[in-house]
Amino acid sequence: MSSESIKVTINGSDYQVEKGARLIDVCRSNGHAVPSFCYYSDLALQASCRTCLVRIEKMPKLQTSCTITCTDGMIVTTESDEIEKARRGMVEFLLANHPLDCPVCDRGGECELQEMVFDWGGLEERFRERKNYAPEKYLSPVVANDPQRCILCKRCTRVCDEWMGEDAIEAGGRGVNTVIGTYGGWLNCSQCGNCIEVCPTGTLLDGTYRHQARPWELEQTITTCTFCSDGCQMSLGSRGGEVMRAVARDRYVNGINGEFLCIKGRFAHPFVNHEERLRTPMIRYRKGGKLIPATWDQALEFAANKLRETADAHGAEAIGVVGSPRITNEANYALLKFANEVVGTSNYTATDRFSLAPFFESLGAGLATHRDIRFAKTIVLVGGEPEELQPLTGKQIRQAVRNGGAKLIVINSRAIRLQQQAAQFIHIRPGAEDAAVLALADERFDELAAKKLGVDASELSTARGTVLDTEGNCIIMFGGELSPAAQSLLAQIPHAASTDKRRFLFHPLPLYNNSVGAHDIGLMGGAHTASSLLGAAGAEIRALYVAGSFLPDHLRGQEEALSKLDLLIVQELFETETTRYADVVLPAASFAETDGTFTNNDGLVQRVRASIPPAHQSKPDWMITAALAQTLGMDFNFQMSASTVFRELAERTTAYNGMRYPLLKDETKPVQAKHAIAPRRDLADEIEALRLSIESLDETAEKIMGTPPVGHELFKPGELTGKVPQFHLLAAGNPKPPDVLISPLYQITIDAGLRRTDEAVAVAGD
Amino acid sequence: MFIGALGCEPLQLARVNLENSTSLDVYRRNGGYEALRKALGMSPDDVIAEVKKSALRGRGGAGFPTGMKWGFVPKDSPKPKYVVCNADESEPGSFKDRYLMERDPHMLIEGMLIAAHALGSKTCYIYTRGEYRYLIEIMDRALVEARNANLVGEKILGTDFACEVHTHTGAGAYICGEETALLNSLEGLRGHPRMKPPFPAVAGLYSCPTVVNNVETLTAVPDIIKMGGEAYQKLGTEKSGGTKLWSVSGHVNRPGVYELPMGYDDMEKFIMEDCQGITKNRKLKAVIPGGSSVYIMPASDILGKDVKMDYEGLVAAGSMVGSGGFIVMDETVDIFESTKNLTEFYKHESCGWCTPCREGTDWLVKVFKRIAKGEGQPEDAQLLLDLCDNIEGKSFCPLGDAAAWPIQSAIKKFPEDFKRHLAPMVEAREAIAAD
Amino acid sequence: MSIISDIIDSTKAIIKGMSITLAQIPKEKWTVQYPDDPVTLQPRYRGQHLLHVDELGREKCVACFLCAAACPSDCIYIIADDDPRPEEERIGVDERYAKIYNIDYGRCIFCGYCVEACPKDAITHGYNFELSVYTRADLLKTKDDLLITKQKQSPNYRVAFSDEDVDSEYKEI
Repeated sequence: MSSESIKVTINGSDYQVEKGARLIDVCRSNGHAVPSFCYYSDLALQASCRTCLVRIEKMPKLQTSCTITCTDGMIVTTESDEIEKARRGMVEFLLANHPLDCPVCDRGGECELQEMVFDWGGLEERFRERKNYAPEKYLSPVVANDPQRCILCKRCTRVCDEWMGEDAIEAGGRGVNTVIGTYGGWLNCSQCGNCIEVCPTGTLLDGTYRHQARPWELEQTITTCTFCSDGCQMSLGSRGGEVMRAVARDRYVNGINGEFLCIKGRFAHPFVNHEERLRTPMIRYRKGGKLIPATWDQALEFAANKLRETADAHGAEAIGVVGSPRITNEANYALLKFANEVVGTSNYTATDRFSLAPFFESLGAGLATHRDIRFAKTIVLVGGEPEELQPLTGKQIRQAVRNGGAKLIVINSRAIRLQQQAAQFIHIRPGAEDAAVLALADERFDELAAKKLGVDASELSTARGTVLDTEGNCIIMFGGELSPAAQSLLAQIPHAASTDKRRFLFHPLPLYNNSVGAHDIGLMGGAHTASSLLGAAGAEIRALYVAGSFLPDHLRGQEEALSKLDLLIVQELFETETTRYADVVLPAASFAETDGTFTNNDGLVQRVRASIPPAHQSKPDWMITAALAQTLGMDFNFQMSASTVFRELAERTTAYNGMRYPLLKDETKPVQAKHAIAPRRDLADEIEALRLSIESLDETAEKIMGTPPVGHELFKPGELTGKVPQFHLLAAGNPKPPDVLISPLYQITIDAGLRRTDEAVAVAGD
Repeated sequence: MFIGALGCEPLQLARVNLENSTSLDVYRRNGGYEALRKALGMSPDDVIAEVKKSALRGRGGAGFPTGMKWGFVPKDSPKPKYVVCNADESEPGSFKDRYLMERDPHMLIEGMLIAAHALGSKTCYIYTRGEYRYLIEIMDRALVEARNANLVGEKILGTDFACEVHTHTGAGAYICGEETALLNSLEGLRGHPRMKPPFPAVAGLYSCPTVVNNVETLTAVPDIIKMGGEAYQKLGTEKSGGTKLWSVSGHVNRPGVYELPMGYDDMEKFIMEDCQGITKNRKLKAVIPGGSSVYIMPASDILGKDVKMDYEGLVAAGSMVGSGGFIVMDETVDIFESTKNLTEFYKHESCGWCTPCREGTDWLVKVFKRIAKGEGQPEDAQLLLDLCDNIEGKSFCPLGDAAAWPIQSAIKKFPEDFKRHLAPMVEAREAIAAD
Repeated sequence: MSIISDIIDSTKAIIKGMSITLAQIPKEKWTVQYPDDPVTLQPRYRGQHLLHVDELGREKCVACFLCAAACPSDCIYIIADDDPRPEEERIGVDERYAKIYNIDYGRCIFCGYCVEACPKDAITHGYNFELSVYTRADLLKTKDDLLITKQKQSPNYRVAFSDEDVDSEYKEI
């Protein structure tokens, strides 16, 4: 990046701008308003709306400022009669065939065309002809389409192509008959809805929120998404205690994700107001009996008595405390404090799929933010499937390659979709990811690794060569397939390979929104893992206090473990497999009803804010824990305030030292946790252990061929179509689709149990 | 129907009237592929210099100097370079390229090969409009002949020069005559124009340096090489050298393709004598000299005005050479109707990429149709002009300009034709006012 | 002061007062015998709201919430819904309609802003003014109470003709 500065004159004022800056950005950042529709930063230039016209000296005709790169001495006029006439003319053209049905349109009130017409529209409409008509239709169960309102800025097609790499939506027809649509049939994509988000008019609309509310009566609350470890910032629109929609429009929120959200973030919020939410605390007075609704006092009293009994009979170590990678840092901290100070047990953990503890212990370089990924030079992706499991990371990788020219090396047992962008794809045998890490870290093991991976040794040295040739940021990402030893080895690579010109950054790909946070708090550092805790149930573990639920992976093979417990206290949103044997069930508040923080895979600590009051009688998790502690005679002194919890948490957690809620207030300036960089250390033991385990790998395992379909991890066949009862009427001639979305309740179970069950995946640290 | 040259020796049309003119034999017997042999003996830079000297200007419509265009191609680019022949001749009134390809395909192949040699290209494409499908067969036959005679492919004429020529048809879109839209279409994308810069000479087909030339431009190249750039330039004027093909249609007694030297003197003589006058001895009303997208010229601007038929002469007379689609209209023509017809064409052919062209042409057509129904308002003429003003110079590619210019000139030059159509409402209004 | 002058003064005053009273007796009366006689209301009178329908009987309201947004006393509550059926089967004129449309007359101040705001001319003020009820909850009027096709018009009013000078009666006095 050159930082050479050049002079540009806009409306008579001189500005020093960076060489290569785009004129429209320069104008806007210096307070010379230039309208535009089709210009969208970081997307391919379009220059089709023609509203950003400016006059540049020595150039014939008016120029579109979105396509002009500033040159030294450029003299620009953005305000003159000629330009005003041109802009008014363009807006008049845009409005010519645009139906004036703002009262019906869901975008009314937050519509860019509306705003543009307020600024640049004529008082009287000169277009007295008949407007072209096109019927409304649905492009998919979640994308409603009114082609008449389209102004053909084609943001949707560019976003679909450049962000998502799916190319599902495209313009068809010609001239004034151009319509945005599919290649026939339903939108064949991951249903991320980003086309809806970027649409400046009411052409593409959220089919699930259609005609439900108007934007101005929604209360917008900026919060963090609860579905994956990317931690996208979004704005929940709520009305009367009901979450109506989740958006990332930049008029409401400007987080790390820009306007990007995936299907889960955007459409899977209805679980918050789902009718199956737990309404009251419930007590099972007799094993095998029914859960009976109770008051909070009764339930807490019951739980406290039983806990006391267990501690008296079997000692404090017989009680286990289980947090969750899906609840807030505050909640996890309260649980840890409960385990340490109230119960005095070392048996605590969180229900994550794999632990990042070995990685963070050996951390040889900082964590990459998503912005770092976008401007990285080389990206190494070992295992994982970010385009499905961490969609924002997937999008950033795609843009880094497409728009930034980054080199992507994909090492995976499946031909995941991102390998289409990869400079090099190393297709390995399932379960052999450790061998790839060993070879990356140490070239002595190339031959061994290549044999076990089922690839040519030269492929591994090419990949290593690409990494070592990098000038700039090299980002290493890894999924949950790595063993603890491989995690440590990978985390130490920067010590050996970074130079002045090359900086290494890490981007772990945990599965849950607060996996990193649960680790940082120290909850993953207990004596047990979730699985081993279940294994010990009924033996040395007699009572469990669980926030959230165990994953199906944990319960597989030990389904009856929970029934062996003397006492099981569960705080949850819904009835799950875990509540089946619970003695006390406490209704917890969802992410939309609670204040707190999540830590994402960048290490960014981001705020979660209550958008609506807790549904029914539910309470935030940390409050329940504090209340239980109170009943047991210990006052946590949280003063009913999440910020007090966080202050205490930040004081006791090294990486979070100095953080306070006011510091985290601005979502545009996220604060990164200061994870300690571990010094270089001798890894001989790990290498030897890895070598041994790799040597025992099966060399005959078949490679998994074929690229998994879009959305195979994102959502599973379910019944979102049921959410739009009149769906068949909106089909507009299309066949009834396969059910493409999930019901809100299923979303949770789906997230918990990923469907990669058919293969032996090394589940590390679990 | 007349196909031939006036005022000069036929160059481009030298062989079109021969029997079996499409065959390689006939072409070679009449000096064919000699220019290629000569060009291969010259260095690429010399070939470009010759073309620069010839003052050959692009015959597709814009009239950009060809030699200069070739000079823009970066010599040291590691990417492959392409020569693309724009045979998407869709301009209403223009049909010269069709005759060139139909009757003398080898001349085009030779021109392309010389261009490929000059630019260091190994691949050429001939992009033909969808409606010219039968020409593809002729071209393909000629290409097979040429390949068999070692004129296309590896080691052409025994030299190290290798070049492949491919044919490709569009699907019938006027916009694909715009060079960047043509490249998009050739790549298999939607046929809409690309942003310039970068110009195709730097990043064209598959983002590689590409030269896109009209059929007539490329077929002029063999003659330039044969006779030398200066001699070719001397045929025409200083700034526009050589000869130009005019596709004459409309109300003249002898329509056809006329090859005239640049700077032919003058238009009145051309219409009245060379084209044998207006049909049925009617009076001349208007001429569109360069295909539909240029300003229309009323008879008063032609008769007795000594209009020179070259780039500068026509600009001085208030119009343009364009692609040389010379449309003559007699006094029976209603300019309102003809303009409406043209506007409908542009609406149909607008690609829909940019706002002013997409919405503007649609609006224009709606206004025209309303006026034609007798529901025109007195202020509609002003509305049309204002809409044209909002389209012109603001559209993404020149199609918007092309749609606006005929209307602007028609209203300016023939206000009475518009007044007549607007009359019913004007009268009705006056009647109401009188009540 | 003698008692006689007192008597004269008070008699004068009585005569003066009574002369006005007696002079009014033969004149036209303004008193309306409500509810025995209907009240005359001005055409622009702002009474209970009316929700209108079009000539096919479809509700004009498209639930755009502009009335609710304009309402200074926050008394309009709407729930919109999607009605994607063919045009002729629809409840409203468009595919969006108000599933619930409530006005709380306990809060309404009859300012008329909702009528001003309506882009579809779907809501106007009617003339019904007898809104007193026994329980406060009854002040909440639903769509069934407000729709022009369902609202019963009180027999206790008549609307002045547009050329009838209703205002002058107050001017005279």
